[in-house]
Amino acid sequence: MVLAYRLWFVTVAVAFSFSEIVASGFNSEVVKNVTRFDIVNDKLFITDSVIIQINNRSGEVFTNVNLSYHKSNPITQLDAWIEDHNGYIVRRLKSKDIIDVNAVSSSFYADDFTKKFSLKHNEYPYRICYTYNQTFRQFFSVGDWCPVFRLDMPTRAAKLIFTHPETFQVNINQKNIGQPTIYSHDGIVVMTWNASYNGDIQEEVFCPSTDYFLPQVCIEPIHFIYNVPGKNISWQSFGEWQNKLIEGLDILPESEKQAVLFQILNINDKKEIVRLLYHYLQDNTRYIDVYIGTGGLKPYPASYVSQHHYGDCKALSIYMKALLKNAGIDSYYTLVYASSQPRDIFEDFPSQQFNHVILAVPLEGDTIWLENTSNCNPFAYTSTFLQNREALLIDSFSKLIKIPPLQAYEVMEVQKMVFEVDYNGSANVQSNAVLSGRRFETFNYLLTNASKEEQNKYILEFLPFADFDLEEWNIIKYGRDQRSLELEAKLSLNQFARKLSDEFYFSFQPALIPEFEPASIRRLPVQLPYPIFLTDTLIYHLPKGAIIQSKPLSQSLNSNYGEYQLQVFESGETITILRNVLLYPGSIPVEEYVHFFDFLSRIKIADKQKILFK
Amino acid sequence: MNSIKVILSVWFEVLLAVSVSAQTKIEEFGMVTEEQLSMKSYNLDDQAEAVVISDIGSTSFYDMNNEFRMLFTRTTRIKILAKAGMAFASVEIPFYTENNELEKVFDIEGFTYNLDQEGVKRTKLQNNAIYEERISENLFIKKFAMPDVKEGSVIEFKYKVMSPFFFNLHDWEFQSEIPAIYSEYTVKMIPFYEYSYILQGAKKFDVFKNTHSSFTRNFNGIEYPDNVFTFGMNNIPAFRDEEYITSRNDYLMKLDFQLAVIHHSNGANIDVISTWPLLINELLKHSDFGLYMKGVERNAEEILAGLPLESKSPDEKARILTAYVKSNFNWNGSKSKFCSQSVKDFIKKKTGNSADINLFLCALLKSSGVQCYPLLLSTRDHGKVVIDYPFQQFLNYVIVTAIIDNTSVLIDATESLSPFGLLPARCINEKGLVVNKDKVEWLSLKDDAPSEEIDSIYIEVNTTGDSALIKVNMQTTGHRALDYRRFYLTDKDDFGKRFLNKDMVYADPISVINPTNIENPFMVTYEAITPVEIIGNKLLVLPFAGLTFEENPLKVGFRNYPVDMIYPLTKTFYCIIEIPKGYKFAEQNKNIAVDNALVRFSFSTEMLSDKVCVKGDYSFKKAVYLPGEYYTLKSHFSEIVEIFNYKIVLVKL
Repeated sequence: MVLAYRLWFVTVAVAFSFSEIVASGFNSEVVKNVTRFDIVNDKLFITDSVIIQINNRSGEVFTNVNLSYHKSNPITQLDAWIEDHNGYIVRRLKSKDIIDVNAVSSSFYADDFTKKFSLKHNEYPYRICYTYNQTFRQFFSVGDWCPVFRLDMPTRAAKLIFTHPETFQVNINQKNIGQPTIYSHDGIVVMTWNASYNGDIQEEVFCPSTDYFLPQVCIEPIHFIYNVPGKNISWQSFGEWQNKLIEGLDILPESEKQAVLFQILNINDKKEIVRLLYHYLQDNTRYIDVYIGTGGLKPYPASYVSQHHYGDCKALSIYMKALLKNAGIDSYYTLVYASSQPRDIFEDFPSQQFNHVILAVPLEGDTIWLENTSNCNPFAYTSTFLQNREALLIDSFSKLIKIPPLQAYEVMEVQKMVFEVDYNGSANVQSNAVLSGRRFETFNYLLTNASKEEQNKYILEFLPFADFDLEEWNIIKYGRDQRSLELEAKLSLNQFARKLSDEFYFSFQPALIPEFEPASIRRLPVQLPYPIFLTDTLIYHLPKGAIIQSKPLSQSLNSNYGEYQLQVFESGETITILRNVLLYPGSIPVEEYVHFFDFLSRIKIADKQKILFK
Repeated sequence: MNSIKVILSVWFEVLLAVSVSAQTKIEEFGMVTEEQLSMKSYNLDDQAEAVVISDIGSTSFYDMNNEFRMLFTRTTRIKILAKAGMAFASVEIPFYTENNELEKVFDIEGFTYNLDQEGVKRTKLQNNAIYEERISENLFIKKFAMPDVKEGSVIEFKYKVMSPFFFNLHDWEFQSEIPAIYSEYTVKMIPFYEYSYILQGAKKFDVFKNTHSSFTRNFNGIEYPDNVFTFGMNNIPAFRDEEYITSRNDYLMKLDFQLAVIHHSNGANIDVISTWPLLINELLKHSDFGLYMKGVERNAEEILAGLPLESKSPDEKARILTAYVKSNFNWNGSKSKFCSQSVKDFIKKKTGNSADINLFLCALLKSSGVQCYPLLLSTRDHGKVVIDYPFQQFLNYVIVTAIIDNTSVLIDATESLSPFGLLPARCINEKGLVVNKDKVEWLSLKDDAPSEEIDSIYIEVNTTGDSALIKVNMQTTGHRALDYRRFYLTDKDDFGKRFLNKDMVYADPISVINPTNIENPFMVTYEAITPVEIIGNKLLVLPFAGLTFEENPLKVGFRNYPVDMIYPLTKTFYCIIEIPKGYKFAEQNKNIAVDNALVRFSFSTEMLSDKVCVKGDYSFKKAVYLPGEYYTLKSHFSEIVEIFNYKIVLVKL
């Protein structure tokens, strides 16, 4: 088998030689990507071969190739070369041209590495070809294959070849790709998928994760050994394996046990104890992620956090679990995919589909979710990054459980703005916004973790005015477990009301609804992960003696996608506008987008009504 | 810039009178005071999220088997005042390798102190929590996160770096993103290396001491004491970064050291640098500079064969050769004044750093009979050049100056999209040094190339009056064209979005003329639908929709550092609005014109039978505005935002 595999390597190298190259409209494109996963003697051999065509100078970013790996699975037999437009090899990569550095990641430290090299030519189009091997002795996943390098870069032809002994059982999950061709020979099963991507998917406002629209094949062994033996038969069996990895880690050092119990002395209410211990965690630890060793699925023990007072999501969750256990409270290590847009879990494909760990604490009639990496989240707050999705509760009877969605009242933004309008057209504004949901999370994070100056910069960008002087601002948090905060700002607008011959006019503040693409260019469906709920009170004090000539009409708009109410009151020289906007959460198929956009346009028209005064 | 220069040498007493103020008392490593632990805020800066209590560094020389090594030690103590300050409890120590020699970081130690019920709690930084990373070919870092850090903690760490690189005596930054109570640097000089230093961001030291060590050392029979210099600063404010500045490097309060002379024990002295002419001579003899160019010249005939240079003027030759180098060789993004490879490798690999490319071009120009010189400069991110101090470290990049018809033309062949004679923005940083063995000459890097944008707009209001079709033709030159070309060629989709205001859509997709034809203006045309406001019997039409500032980009109220716009820009608008049937233009013609030292702008409207003509232009006259000019500039921006978003009113008849 190893011999066959070597031979294949040679044939691919030969097959790489082309004779005619024609540039397309893209700056660069993946002409061919062939990946092989071979299971031989319970080891996984990966071979990846890539041909990238560079069509012009702007496409040259891809002449810098970065190959990431972990040192337990080194990259071997790396070969790379350039072919000109006639298919001739212009230059081959020399080993001294390869630099090995630590991989760039968002982690504090990870022992992942990157092999970097760059190959350039001066006549377009030309092709960068490279191929390499990797060997895995231990693995819990064969591969998660998606032959898309960048959304704006097409992949003309991609092939995945997966060979394994008939006795090696796997689960396969695939999407946006045709069925594989399968044949067996001498007890070896060979599966082959073909895919392509035409480079036409782009991120759009509130679209589902773009992964949904790309070809993908995930292959998981049913039986595997990774640290300890595991089975991907059911969520229970997968959870059992994860459970073995965390077994015995949730023990506090003796010295800390007593100190922590002291914190909750004489407190009997279980929820109150959880709350106090969560505060203890927030005040005594911080988020520092260090990944050493393969996969990063085995957490550091509670004692590690005890010693350093920091850890990643896994370590901090284990530590919190230990704090609760010490107080006699059960909790569950819980795997989840944290993201602003919830990603569906493939329920009939038990496997590692998660990127984050939290803690579930069952209390009478209610389950509390604890995010242990945040030093500022309110107690038991399920953020927009966690809400409304399936999570896997780990114990010996692991199961998927739904984290409930945030309700409209939990994401509400209440804003009050008072304008003092002057006869020269300028205005002073007092703005008070009570924010919850996503904006609460942002400001809450800034308030705790950013310098005053960074907060100031953010607020200057956030305030929805074109030209203003910010005189004063304040972020007010009423208590550490409050799920909302208040943003207070005092500012002056240099130009507000515009003079039209002998009268003034101005527009009132439009609702802060995200700016969606017009229907003519929208390509992807909409997925609103939680409601958008805006309640505004706008008070305009016009100059003394002003006579109101025209004011907006009160109105209310309804559709399948949401509601909008506008009420306008006039009293002397003051106009008061009350406005509610509610956009319902959920998915809107792209065929229906034109109706959704039409609803938003009607809101815009209502919001654009003018106020005229003399 | 405030800078002073002192030559440090054991053989001469230093001629510098500095008030020696009381030095702040520094706690011993491993000890903390109650006062530091119970401190709740820093009285000189109540916004500080953390404050450096003390930052103490020193460099000394060690004789290791008859070879000197520099030992840098640093001890830093920081008070964490708020959770936001905990970022300063993660520490990174960079160290370098070059030519198989490596710096070594060792003896890292650290403690975190907290106050709890039982009193002071001290937590030690564990050795197994210190990590090492390789960032690039030459750069490594050691990193660690201090343990047990919370609001109120005092952290303290120290480390040593052993270095063989005498050219880089460790510089000292007194200032950082958080304020410091006391920062001090000591250098213990030996007779064999003589350094100069420059202090930036302050006029004098708060603490300055010069003593000799009480013991003497012996090297090759020469007996000497260490000559010890101590530089200290009290109450250093936080450096708070601002938008539109060249580089943090230009403003930070710091002390830079430069090797000046090497005194060999046999009595010979090597001036590392003393004058610009010496530096120029040395470069011309350097294998990765002058000799590289000679190498190109030797191969020039072969390279130039096939290029149509015969009977061409110097100007034509320079253009042909620049175009040849730009289209055949690629910049790898690395800035350097020294070549990174042999001429042969460069020709084979077709890619290289700024010196590989520009010295190659310079040599080709010379070989073809064009008078030209390399020109050294400091790129914007590298900081300003100090002409008074002849240190090659101040210059990090090389371009070409060609003398054509008695005028210097500056050429940087790394930027394939810039037209002949236009420098990319990274090079525009005060002055550059001509590498000419006959004279020292500095050329201004400011270019006079006009960076202009002219927008011609034609607007037709539709029959219902609620929207308008606008047809735009945009023409750009200079840096503006270069910026647009780069943008367009890397991301066509994003480029398209740039010209649409809220609620605008394209009626006819954007089309670009001369995307890569760099010697001609970069032009864009498109048609779009834009909303028109209806108020009673009036239509309000925005003449320059999507083409001008919608918001004032200067938002903060106060500024410490200059606003650097890189290049002066002029924008001109011509707009014709067709008056729809049944409407008239009822306003008085508007005519606004402002012209002063900082900006010029004008705006005018004029009725022409069934059309309204709107003309406008604005021009930022300076590339750099001083902090004192900030407020005026900000209010001019405010006027420009107002005037150029002025809506033309059409009234129903």
